[in-house]
Amino acid sequence: MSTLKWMTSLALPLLLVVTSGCSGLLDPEDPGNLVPGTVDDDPTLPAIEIAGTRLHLQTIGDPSDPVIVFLHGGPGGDYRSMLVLAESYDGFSLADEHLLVFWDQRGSGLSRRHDKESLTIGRFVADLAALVDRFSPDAPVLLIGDSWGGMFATEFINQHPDRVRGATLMEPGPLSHEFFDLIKDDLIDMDMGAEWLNDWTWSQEILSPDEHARMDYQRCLGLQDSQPRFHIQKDPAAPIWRLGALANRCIEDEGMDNDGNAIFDFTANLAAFDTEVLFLASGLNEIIGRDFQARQRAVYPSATLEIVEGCGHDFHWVKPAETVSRIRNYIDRLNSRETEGE
Amino acid sequence: MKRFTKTWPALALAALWTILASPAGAQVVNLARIEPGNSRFVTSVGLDPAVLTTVGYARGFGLGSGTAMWGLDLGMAVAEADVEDLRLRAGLQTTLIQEGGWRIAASGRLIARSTSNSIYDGQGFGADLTMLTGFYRRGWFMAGSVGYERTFVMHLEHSDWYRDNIYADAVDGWYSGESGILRGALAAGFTVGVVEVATRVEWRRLDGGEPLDPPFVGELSFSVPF
Repeated sequence: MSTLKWMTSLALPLLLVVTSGCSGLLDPEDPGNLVPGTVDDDPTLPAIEIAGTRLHLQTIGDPSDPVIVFLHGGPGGDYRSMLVLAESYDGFSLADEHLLVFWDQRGSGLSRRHDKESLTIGRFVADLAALVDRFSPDAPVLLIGDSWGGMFATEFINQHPDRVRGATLMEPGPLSHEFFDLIKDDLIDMDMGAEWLNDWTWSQEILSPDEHARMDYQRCLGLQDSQPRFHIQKDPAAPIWRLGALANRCIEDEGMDNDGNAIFDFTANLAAFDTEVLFLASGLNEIIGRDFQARQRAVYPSATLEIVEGCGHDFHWVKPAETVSRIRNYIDRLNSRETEGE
Repeated sequence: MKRFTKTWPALALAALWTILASPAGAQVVNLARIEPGNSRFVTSVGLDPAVLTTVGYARGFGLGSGTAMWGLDLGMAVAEADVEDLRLRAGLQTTLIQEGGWRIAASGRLIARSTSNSIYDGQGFGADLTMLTGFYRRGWFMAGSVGYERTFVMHLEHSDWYRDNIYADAVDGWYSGESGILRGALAAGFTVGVVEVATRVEWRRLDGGEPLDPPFVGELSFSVPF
């Protein structure tokens, strides 16, 4: 066979494929194709311009009431599943007596996407400080953090103890490198034969994860199966709108040195915060459940640990009524102590 | 069964390309042992980037005053025998410059992949180009290569789970490929009897500089001429 024939036979199908790429194909980066658009794409989404970014945010309740700020998991998750905590159970809603502030963190959920330089723990803390200033300029706020949100709440308390009235930490991840080292080998199922892990690596060969929409989309791989010992509910799973893959990676990387060793510590100044903190843990999570949280609560001068039995890491989604009830009781205790202190 | 009906069109298209191009190329072969009319069976196992096993066929032919090789291989992710994660490659590899045992060679391949995972069923179609240089003797070889791969077009169909739990309005259809993958690799091999044993370790990164997981892949291959 001649060289010309070889070259032609190779080039023709390539030419067809490249040409077809110029017309009629969907763009994976277009908002709405793979993942929903962010607040920069969809003006109907509730949003706020603050601290140099645009955040997906909504409030529920009376603006004159004390403020509860919700911090979702991740890093890079969103607040969609936490909205169940705003509903009414047994005739009571947290919104009856509080202004509830739900928001997607920087680069996460439906909030604005940023480049790496703007996705730091320092910027996250500054965003939260700006939100506290905006919604509760004259009084400290209550924080409710889920998983990473509990770590984030702890770092905020660590830096701004005077701006926090109290905190409920729902099964937070490790609050310092020392706690991370206890569980680092069990956090994610990295079995080479695990189907989710092979799906994850294989998918990158088809859908290159280097722009936000594609990264965020592929980040959803493994949501079901990468942490089997967390015992999350698969159907119906805790819903999300959109993950923030780059935010996730940047925040996780910031907590590590170049050798992959954890170096973060959100606990250094917690002695300054003597208000009771409520730790909630699930009965089934084998990694960061009751035993792990029993150790972690010791970083706070005053902390209580309560267990939501019969479910895993997503207990706020599986058992929202019980979760709200425990938060309500905690708030009642804070109110009593504040009344006694007056 | 539904997934198979989506996988087969991808494979059929790849097979069509194979027929059109008559290409192929297993890079991890000893170029010094390729001769016109010589056929070989190649199999490999490795992390590429899933845990993958491949079987392939290659055949040498005369090209100008030299020798080239065409071939094709089919790879399957073997984690839990995931028969929906497949790769079909067909390509051509030829020596461009030879000075004693030293060679500079080039290869081009058409690549079709399919996958089925928790968020989508997909098929991707692309190609790669690779330049190799190395020292080849009949009993052993060492080589290095740099390459670039790009997916030109892909078909995605979002899963019910993704629609139910994350994004109901996700759009199924044909998408343009957006980025390429840069690859650099080292390979070495030796011959035991009639069997050529070779190994390859590859570093890879997206052309925009973003990392891939894992950043390194590798394989162990066996080639038997007949």
